[in-house]
Amino acid sequence: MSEETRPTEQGYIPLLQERFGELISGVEWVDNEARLTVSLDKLHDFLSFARDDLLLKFPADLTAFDTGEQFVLVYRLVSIEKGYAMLLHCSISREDPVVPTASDLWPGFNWHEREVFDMFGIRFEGHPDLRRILLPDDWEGFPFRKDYVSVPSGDPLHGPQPVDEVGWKP
Amino acid sequence: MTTAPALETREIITQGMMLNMGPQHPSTHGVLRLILTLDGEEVVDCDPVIGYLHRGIEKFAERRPYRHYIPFTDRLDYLCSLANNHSYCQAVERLAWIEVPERAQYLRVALLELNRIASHLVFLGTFGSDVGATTVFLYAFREREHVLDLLEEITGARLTYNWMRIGGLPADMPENWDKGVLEFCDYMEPRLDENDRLLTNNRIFRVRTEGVGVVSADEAVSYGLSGPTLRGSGIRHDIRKFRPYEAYDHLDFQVCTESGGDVFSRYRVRIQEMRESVKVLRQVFEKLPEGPILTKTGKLLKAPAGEAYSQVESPRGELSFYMRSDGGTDPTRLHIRAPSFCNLTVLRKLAIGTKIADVVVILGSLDIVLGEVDR
Repeated sequence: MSEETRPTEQGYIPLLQERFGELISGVEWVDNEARLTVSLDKLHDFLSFARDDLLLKFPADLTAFDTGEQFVLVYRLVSIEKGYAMLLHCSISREDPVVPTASDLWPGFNWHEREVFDMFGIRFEGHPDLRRILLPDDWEGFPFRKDYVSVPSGDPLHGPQPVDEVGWKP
Repeated sequence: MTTAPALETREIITQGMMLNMGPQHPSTHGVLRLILTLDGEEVVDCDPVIGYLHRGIEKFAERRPYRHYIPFTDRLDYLCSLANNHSYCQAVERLAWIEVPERAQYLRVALLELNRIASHLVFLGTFGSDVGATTVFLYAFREREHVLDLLEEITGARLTYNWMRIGGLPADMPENWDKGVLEFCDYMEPRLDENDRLLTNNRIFRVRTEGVGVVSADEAVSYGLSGPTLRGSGIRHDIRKFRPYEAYDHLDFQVCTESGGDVFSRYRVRIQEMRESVKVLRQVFEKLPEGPILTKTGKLLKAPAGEAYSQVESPRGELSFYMRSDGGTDPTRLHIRAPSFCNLTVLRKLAIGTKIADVVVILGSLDIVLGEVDR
C-alpha cells in the first residue's frame, strides 16, 4: 500500500526520524511493519534504541545478502506486546566487512551471526565466539557470496564440489 | 621409612571429563553433537556442534525457478513438510502478488493442522522414550498412522508431501476425505485424554520434567525462542494470531500457554495444541467454501524485483522465508529462519549446571529437527 492511501499510519517512524534523522533512509510502513535502512556507523546505537525504547525485544531473524557491490545485513525485530515489527537493512562494504555485534543485546543472535560469518565472511566485532557453525572448520571461502567459485578437492567426503558447472537452468 | 598420608590430608585430584554425545546418538534426535564437559554427573559446559546435515538448501534456490524449489522445502523440517511447503509458497505469493482462492486457503489450514498433529505426536512419542516411558511411543505412533493415512489419501505421500503450489493447491480433496478427517477428530480427542492418564499424570514423569530446564519469559524473548518453547514460558505469541495468514482469522482457536517455563510446560503446550488443532479441523469443514483451488500463474513465473518476508507458525515455532528477487525467474537470495535453529541456541544455557540425564530431557522438550537446524 502506498503512502498516499494510508497517510496517517506511521507507527513509530516519527520517533526514529527525530532521533536518527539523516542516518536512516528508505523508510516505509507496510502492514504494521517498518522497512528502513540505517547507516553502519550508528548501527549498534540504533539497535539498542530499538530494543529499549521501541520495545522491539524479540530477535526474530538476522541474515545477509550479496548484491555484487556490497553486502546488506537484514535484521528483523518484533515487538510482541506492541504488535509491530521492523525489517532493517544495513549496507557494508565487501572489501572490509566488519560490523558491531548485536549478540550483546540479544543472546539469540549469537548463532545467527556465526551463520552469517560462515556463509558471507562478515565479521562481527565483539562477538564472544565467532567461528564457523554449519560448514567444517577448514572450509575455504564463503559460499553465499555471489563471486564464490567452488574448487573440487578430489575428496568426495570433504571439500567443495563443482556444483556451479552443472547448475541446471530451464 | 615413609608412610602414606592420612586419608583426610591426601589431596584428591579430579578433572573434568569431556564427553561427546552424538552425532550418532538416539536421544539427540538426529545428527546433533553435544560436547559436554562433565564434573561427575553434572554438566559444566555444553557446546552444541551442528552442520552434519548441511546441504546448502538456501543456495539451491538461487539457481532454480520458483516452482522447482518446493520439493527442497520438504527436506527441511521433514516432520511437518507441509508447513515448509506453505511458508515457501506464501513467500513467493507475497513477492509476486498472487492471490490464493478461498477454498485453497481453508484446505491449506486443514492440511497444516493435520501435519501439526502428526508432528506433535512424534514429539510425544520420542519425548516419552527420552524420559523412559516407552509405551507412549507406541501409542503416539499408532495415532500418527491415522493422520498419515489421511495425508496419503490426499497427497500420495507419507512424509515428504510436496503438496502446496504457488497460488493454491495442485488438486482438490478426494471424495469423502472430509468425512475421514472428522472421524479422525472424534477418534483423536479421547486418545488425548488417555494420554493424560498414561503420561501427564504419571508421578515419575512429573518428577523428571517439572522444574527442569526453566526458561524465564524475558530469557525466552531475548533468545528469540518461538512456538511451544516460547509459549511454555508464558508468552502469548502465535503467528496464526499475530499475523493471521490463510483462513486463520476466520477460525476460532486458543493460543495455549503455560507459565512454568520448564520441560513440563512445553510438553503441556504441545498436548493442548493438538486439542486446538482438532477444534480448527472441525471448523474448517463447516466453513469450507466451494470454488477453484489454484490461481493460474503461467508456465514460468517471474516475480517483480523486491523482497518478501513470509512467516508461519510451524509446529516448532516461527518459520520464515525471506526472499529477494531482481525480476528474473529465480530468487537472488532465499533465507530460511528455522525455528529449531533458534530454539537450539538456548540449550547451552539450560544444560549447564544440570545432570547429564536432564540434558536428554531438555533437548527432547525443545523438539528440534536437524534437517531444519542444518538446512
